[in-house]
Amino acid sequence: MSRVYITGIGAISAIGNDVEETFQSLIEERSGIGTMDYLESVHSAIPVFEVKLSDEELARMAGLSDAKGLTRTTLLAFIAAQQAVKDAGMDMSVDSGLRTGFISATTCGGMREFEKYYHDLLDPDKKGDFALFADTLDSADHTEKVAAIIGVKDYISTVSTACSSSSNAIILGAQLIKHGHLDRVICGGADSLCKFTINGFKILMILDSEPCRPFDQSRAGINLGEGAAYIVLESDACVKDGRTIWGELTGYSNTNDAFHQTASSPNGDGALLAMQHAIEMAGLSPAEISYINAHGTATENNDLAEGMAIQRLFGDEPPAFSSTKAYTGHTLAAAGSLEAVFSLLAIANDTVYGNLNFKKQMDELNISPVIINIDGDPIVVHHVLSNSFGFGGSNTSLLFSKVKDQ
Amino acid sequence: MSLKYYIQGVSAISPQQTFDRTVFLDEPVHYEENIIKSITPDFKLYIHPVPLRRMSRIIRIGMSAAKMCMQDADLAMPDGIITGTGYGCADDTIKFLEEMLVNKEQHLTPTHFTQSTYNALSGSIALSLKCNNYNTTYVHRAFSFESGIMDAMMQIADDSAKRFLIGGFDETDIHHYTITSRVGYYKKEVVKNFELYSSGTVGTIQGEGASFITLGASQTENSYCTIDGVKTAFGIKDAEELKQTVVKFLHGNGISIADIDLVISGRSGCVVNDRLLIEVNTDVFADTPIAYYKHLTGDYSASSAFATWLASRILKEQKVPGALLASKDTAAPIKKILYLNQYMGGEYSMILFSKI
Repeated sequence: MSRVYITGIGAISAIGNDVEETFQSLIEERSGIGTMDYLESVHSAIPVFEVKLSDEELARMAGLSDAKGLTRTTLLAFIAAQQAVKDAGMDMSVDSGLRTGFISATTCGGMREFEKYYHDLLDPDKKGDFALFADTLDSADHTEKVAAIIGVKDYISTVSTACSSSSNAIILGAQLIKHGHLDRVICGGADSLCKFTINGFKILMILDSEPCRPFDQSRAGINLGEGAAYIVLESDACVKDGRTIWGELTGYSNTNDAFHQTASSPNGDGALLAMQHAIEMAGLSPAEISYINAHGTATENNDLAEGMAIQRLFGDEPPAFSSTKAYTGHTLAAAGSLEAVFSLLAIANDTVYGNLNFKKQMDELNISPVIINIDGDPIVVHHVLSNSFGFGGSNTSLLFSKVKDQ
Repeated sequence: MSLKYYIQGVSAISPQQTFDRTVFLDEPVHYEENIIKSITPDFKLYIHPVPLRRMSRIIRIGMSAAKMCMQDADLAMPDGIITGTGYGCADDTIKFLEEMLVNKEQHLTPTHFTQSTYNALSGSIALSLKCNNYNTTYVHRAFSFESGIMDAMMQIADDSAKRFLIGGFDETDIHHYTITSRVGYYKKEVVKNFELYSSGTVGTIQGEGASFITLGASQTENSYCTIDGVKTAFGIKDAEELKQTVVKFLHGNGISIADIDLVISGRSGCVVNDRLLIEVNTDVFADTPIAYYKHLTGDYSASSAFATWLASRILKEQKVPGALLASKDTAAPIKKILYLNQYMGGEYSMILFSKI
């Protein structure tokens, strides 16, 4: 069975329009939090993590002369996927003979446009370019449009498991490579900010009006963000010839908490299982994990469950762990792949990111996240566990490892 | 010995009477409307009354179908729960959206939001079973259920002891119907469902349903058939490319066109979107009986789950119901069925089933 290597990464979020800018923000401990400039909502006072580009600017950046009917989610997805493809050195214009797939994830697809034009779309007498958004709420819309522009034909699919979506897209991609169905696959996810999610999380009272504070005693909820990130997975056969490899996906696990539709079990049972299984799959012991990029949404419930799970698995002296949600906000379906990119950058640069806005350890826990960046000596980042959890009890852990001969 | 993938249990809730196992489309329901809804069972037989009260209609339908399938397969705890859907919980999504727009983002209730997530059904099933195992949801139009099968097959290949609960669900929604009618998804005129294929017009009728299968590597007493392969194809340009894809798929599974005893076709009654399927049916399967089902269920993203229920029962019971309007009689024994679908002219998929 083939191993699974990561040969390309791409990301766009509030902390950078590409991987380089993103990493710069991470190492400078710069949050992407700001005001709501591009989305119109009555809740404009709520802080968000926006990509500070209009749809027209995104289309230009993507090099698309005609972006009519492309949703913001599609534009973000295309930009990040294109970066990953370029980074992996894939030339899609020639027939390489390699079977290539594209697996994307989204929670809301084209909801941003759908909610904006909903009443116009319902009125058959109204005509205009907005009508091109008629079926863009469909989650597959962004996947098919991006696949068509990039030129992926062999396999496409779309995953939606709430906030763990893109991690599960990565798992499907890895399985397809291991089982020999594909040679390489671009996996990730995208979500743009929309009123639907802002109001949804607000009414659930888990949207913080202050900057989010993951793992902090005073945490009071998430801040929403937007973005997209993709990674290119390739098989053994594709990575000969000394190509640049970001890392290897050595373990993954998807479990279900089976506790509550929208809340995690207080002891983090599902989260514990997911981390445990991913580590076992890689043939490692918990002590060998260098860094955990936690889901850490800063809701009271998630951070308690995840913190408990980390403590149960690693004891009172766990590896360095942090949430990067205070950098990017919660980008929903993009979170898993965005943090996969962060994990791979951590491995490549032997860096661990400080958990912004942390002041006081949670009463229920004996552990705290790292609060300032650690880089180079004294830390070598060999194995990074990346957690993504979501509504519906979804718990997914990915384990990325440094490639020995790198 | 190479691994086989047995369908160990099935269920279907659809606009036909399909949850009663004693009948097999014996008395099909005739409709004369373009949105057709499921005939539902007594949900209390499958769902505890407390959670039942809070569940939306599609979650009730999906949960009941999941439980029926588990009962049929005698499966208490699946090693994975996988669902596929196009619009997911469309009704809750639209309700939350409309409430938000009408109330200008004020005074909303959270229930519709939390139930609007695509994985609400797979999560609810896990919750009701206290099942901590693998759980995911695919949302790629008419590839959703197919992705789920592919996913499960790979995990069964990793560990042949595993058994998966895989389902497809979608619900009708008048708003989606109205909006996507702009792009020709549905017929402008009202059709009788049994005249769907002779309508000669653009568009189809909207349907819904939930169907589940239990898939595993062992042949249980109740097993229906095997799934030998699944293939999804998009960006198909013309009939020639579709023909080649079909033939390559069959060859990849070590069989040829002549080995197929029956084709279950996903024709939708749309003169435009059915074009390639009709050409393939005529050119490649000229001598093969072809059966249809979308007049019974309406069209929806996850209808391949219903077609899988259909293929499973046909292979087990060796009977092709007259309601399927097959082009000709199928000679006994029925050994291999090819399901060939198109959805809105964009996605093409195929699943190969074999008699045990």
